[in-house]
Amino acid sequence: MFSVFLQAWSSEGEGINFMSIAFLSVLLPMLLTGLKLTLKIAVFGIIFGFLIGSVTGYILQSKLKILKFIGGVYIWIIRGTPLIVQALYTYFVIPKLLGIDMSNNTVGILVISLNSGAFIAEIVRGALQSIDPGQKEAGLSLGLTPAQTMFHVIVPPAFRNMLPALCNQFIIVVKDTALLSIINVNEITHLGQNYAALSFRTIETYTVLALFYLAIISVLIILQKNVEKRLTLGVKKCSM
Amino acid sequence: MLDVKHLVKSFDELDVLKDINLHVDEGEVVCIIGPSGSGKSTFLRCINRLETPSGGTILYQGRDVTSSGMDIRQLREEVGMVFQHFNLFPLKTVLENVMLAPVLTKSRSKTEARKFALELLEKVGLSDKANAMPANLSGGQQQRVAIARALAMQPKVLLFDEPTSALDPELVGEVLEVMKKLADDGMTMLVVTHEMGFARDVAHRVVFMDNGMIVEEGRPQDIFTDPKEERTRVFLNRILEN
Amino acid sequence: MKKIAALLITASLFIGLMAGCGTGNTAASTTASPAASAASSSGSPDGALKGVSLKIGTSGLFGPFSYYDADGKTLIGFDVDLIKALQGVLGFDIDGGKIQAMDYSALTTSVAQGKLDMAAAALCVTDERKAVIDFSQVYQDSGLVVMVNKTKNSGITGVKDLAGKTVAVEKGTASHAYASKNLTSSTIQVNDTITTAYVSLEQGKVDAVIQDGPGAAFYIKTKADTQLQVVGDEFNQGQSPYALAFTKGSKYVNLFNAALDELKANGTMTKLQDKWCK
Repeated sequence: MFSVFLQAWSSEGEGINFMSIAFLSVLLPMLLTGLKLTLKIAVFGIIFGFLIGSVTGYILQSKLKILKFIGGVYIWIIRGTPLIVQALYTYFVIPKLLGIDMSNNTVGILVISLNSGAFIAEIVRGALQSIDPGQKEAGLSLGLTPAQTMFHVIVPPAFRNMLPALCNQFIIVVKDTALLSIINVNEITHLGQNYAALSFRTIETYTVLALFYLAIISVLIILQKNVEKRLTLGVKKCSM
Repeated sequence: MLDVKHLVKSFDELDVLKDINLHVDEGEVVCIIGPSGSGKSTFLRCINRLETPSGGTILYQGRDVTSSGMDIRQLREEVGMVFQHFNLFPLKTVLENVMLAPVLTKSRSKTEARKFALELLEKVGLSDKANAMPANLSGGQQQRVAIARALAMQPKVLLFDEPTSALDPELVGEVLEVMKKLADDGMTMLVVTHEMGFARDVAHRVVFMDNGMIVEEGRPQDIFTDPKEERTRVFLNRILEN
Repeated sequence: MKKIAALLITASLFIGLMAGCGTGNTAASTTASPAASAASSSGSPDGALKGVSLKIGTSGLFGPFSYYDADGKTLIGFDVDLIKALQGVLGFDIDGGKIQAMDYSALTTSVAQGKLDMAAAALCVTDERKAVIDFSQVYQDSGLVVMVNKTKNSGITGVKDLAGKTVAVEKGTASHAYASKNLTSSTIQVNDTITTAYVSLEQGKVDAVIQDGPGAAFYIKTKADTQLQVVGDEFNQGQSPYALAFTKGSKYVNLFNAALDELKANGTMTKLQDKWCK
């Protein structure tokens, strides 16, 4: 088993080269640097995505047909195109259309925000609708403005209901950052590919890369479970 | 206080309220009874504009509630409502439930609001539950909190939409007791209910609705012992049998 | 605890799987037919690989050596013609009837792993590649050049001026290797294909591109309305001459070298150079 292990770690399977874990001393620091960018893009992406998604989710249930239409078109476009195509389009076409200069990382955050925003819109819409209409009526009948009712009565339980789905979306977003490698964002997948191309250590590199993602996502999954536990410990599910 | 004239309300094809006329004086307790589907709740909800009337007028202190110039938010401060399913805010404590609206709308300081809220909770007999969460209260307790919450805005009229219909029988009494106290204190109340005992003992007037119309109205003793309309008679027989 | 166990098991399974892939490689290089080994001992390349089917790769990304015709489907170029000429001498068949095209990183990796028997795509003989690939003799000298956008040039006159600049290269090429080794103070943008590197430079997203001389010249000559130009002299020639790439330990290298000698001797190479590189 160990010799098989060693063989896998040599370059391109020609007998057993003396296993050079030395490559790890180059690859790991490189990936850790890239990890900072991966997480940065994921965090900004989910935050902006949440803002975009909240607005969209809200206007999806508005009575104004024109707003509903705009929201619908946005979601349709995002759902109807692969993320990788969205990345390429945003990278090549949008700066030209708008006439502004955007760094690759900015484009990356924009792509992730727009993409996750569409899915978060559905999460938000579902959460808002899951709140008993009686809650809104109670708020209004006490003399609260519609805005106050939304902010103090509807949003807190709706947000709680959304949290598990939002955590899930964050995990998806972290994985989505890998696709940004196609537009030269130096997140960990891109760095891994570059390293593999120069060193020809494809097996080692991609194994380490996969384990890297697995480790990060596993941590996020544990955090998500903690969040879910906290939610059920306190008040029961808010759909009174 | 309240003058309803020729109120009409339709949902798409369905005429739920056909021609409602009612006058309510200050301090009056009016109980509205009738079979389900008769439009009782809809009538109540038109008064505080949770529903928009299709026709007719509702005058509150001489001002037309149905007109577009009406400040509905202000109206609702003065015309409060208690719901069949309580609708307490689940993530806030009992005290926070009662304090929320005064702090947000009347810009009352938190200390003032808290003081007043505790007084109200005392009034409904729940001062020891101030820091409890609604989910940990019985139905009767939740409804009493809901009444305290409505009272926090110091309304001039209180609308009750079947306040005890969702309660287990043994919890009904504690709520009716609170409502009786309010009546004794001179609150103008419009109560949609099936609790005939309450109507008989506390109401100044009973209104019988059927099929979107007021069939008959009068003093409780008149309606209950000697109803004039056949439909009233039929309904009361059915109810009193159970 | 459970999670850590799960992680370890997944990791070892993964590596075990990869090990399986690793050992599979040696099998590919042993498909040489008896005819080939007989021929290598006799010395003459003519018809030496008759009946042998070889998997051949190219990039299609590097005019004038390997690129697509106007129809977007037909591969043409110096290397494409060279492969045909070598076929004429050695008599091998191309597996699947056509040359496989892929980007440089995939190309060199496929040869190294034995997925391809040979590749011809203006491949530079670099130290990194020599570690995992066997090369034929050199058939064309070359070097790297720096390209800039003449309307947005920030004072770059050659490779010495690239410190602190943003430089785009194509993944897995000699330019990539050169940049990562020598341009440590520059920001390197690694593109999957040279096309996106060129676009980045045309759009002013990067300050310079490093590319092989012939490729750069060809792009500038053939791209309408290009803003790009070459600045400075060729450099890194020692790591940049072109040769054919073979899987390490391949039995075909000597035969192909003999065939290349023949093509040089009979003037075919000169004809190709006249046709494509002038």
